[in-house]
Amino acid sequence: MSRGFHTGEFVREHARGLRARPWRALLIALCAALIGAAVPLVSLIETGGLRESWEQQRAAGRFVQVIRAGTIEGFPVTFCENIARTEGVIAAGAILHREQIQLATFPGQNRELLRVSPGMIAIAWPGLAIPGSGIVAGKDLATQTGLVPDTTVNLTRAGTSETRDIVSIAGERSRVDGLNTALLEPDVRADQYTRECYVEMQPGAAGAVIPTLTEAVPPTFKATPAPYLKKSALVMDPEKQLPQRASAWGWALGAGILFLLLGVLWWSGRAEMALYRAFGARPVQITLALAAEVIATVLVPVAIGASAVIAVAGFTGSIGTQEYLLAGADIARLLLALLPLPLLGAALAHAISPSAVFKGA
Amino acid sequence: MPVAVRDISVAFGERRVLTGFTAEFVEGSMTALRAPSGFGKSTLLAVIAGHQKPDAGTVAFTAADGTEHAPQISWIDQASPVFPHRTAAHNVAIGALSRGSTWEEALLIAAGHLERLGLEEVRDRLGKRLSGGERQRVAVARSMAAETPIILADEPTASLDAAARGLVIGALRAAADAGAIVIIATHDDIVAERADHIIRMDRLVPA
Repeated sequence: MSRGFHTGEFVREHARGLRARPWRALLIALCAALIGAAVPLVSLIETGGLRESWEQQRAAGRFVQVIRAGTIEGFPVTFCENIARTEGVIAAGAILHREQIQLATFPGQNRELLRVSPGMIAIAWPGLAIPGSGIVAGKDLATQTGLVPDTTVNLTRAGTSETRDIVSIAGERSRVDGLNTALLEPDVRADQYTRECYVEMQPGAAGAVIPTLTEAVPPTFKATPAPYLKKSALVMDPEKQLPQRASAWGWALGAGILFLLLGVLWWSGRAEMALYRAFGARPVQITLALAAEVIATVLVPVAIGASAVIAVAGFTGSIGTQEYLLAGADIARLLLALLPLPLLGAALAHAISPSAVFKGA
Repeated sequence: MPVAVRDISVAFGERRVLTGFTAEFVEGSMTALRAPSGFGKSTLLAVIAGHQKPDAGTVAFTAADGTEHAPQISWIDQASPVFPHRTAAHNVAIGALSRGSTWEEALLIAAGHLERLGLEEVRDRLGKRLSGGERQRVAVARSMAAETPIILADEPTASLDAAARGLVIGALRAAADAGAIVIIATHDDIVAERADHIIRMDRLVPA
């Protein structure tokens, strides 16, 4: 009298069947590994592209906001400096005073000396170290007058002459108009006023930072924030770009391909499934066997492929925390989407009658 | 667990193949269904196996305790399916697995049945590379290994040479002697000679 398959033995028997046709299992595993690698890779490439785009936009001043005072007197610069401590703000700075001077090395022509709050140096030239004292010269001015760093220059203003240290020459062009031909002198005095406060945010931090800008300066000064550069229709807000990135759907496409592949292969093997059913295999046993197949040939290769990409990207240092999180979320979605795969096999197992094998199934 | 077939009628369109067929098949017996083609031998086997729904009548499998339930049935015919990517030995071992054996036990059981059916030489040959006769004998060996209580065989010797035919008939006879119900639709006189009962369907049932 037949007692039927032992469930564990049937699962092992299914594995022997897979080993008997290794190309089939290898094909699935290869596809799964490629999809597992492709999902985070596409995500990393796209988010990396977005990061690069944001970097270019950042360099152009896309993430700079300007708080403009509504009065001729302006507002105390301390309000501007307080904003620099807000989370998501890279730098905040203001132009405090402008005056005309003449350089001894290039007499006869007026130059502009701007007293600025220290943060303005970083607003004008991102990455340039803010000097503790001394003057920073704009690129064009240094080229025209022969100024070089770590030298002393005589300058005349309002009829008096004085010497000042040139501590730095800006290597890049300024993001703020007019500064390439000027001298900038940091002024740390707190009792200064300004009519404009420049604030640079981190890409993607606009949602958190911009609301604080409207409250940063008391209403009596009638200050209003606005983007330094006019928004281009072609440049999307990074915060909107991330959720809308095309690679956010890579996991769904990958899962769909694997569902289709497994569905086709299981359907092509339905005659053998029917033969097992004819010999007493229960649908639940077939489902368990297919679940084991899914783990071995789909889930593990997906995890290996994804891990390999993450590891290589991490090793090459081309991946940031945000990219890790996005790629990890995409991989998790893919694995979760693949978990119901054995149910597809279960549906097939229930649909196939044991007698189907004798009808040419 | 006798098989009681009562008042079975099957028609394909206008053609009536079985009309009110009644019989009982008991354990430990080999029954030959004999008739010219078209008298419903294969159809009767299909009805018992559940592959064909009768227009009327019932098939009852009654256990010793009086309860009825569908037992596992082995089906052997000229196109017996095998696992194409598994060896002949594995195909037979799967039969033994289906009655709860471990794989190691199943391979030992398979070796015995392969020898009994003269298949030692093809034991490592893939199912898809077996000839029709070899596939048929592998299917018989697999049914023997499965020790199913009911074996239905539709012309099991039709494509076999004399030696192989003797081996298949011997295996089916041994299964019946071990307690199985063996029902064979056949034109083969030698099969009929080894059967315990012969049902002449052309005489019992008007075509």
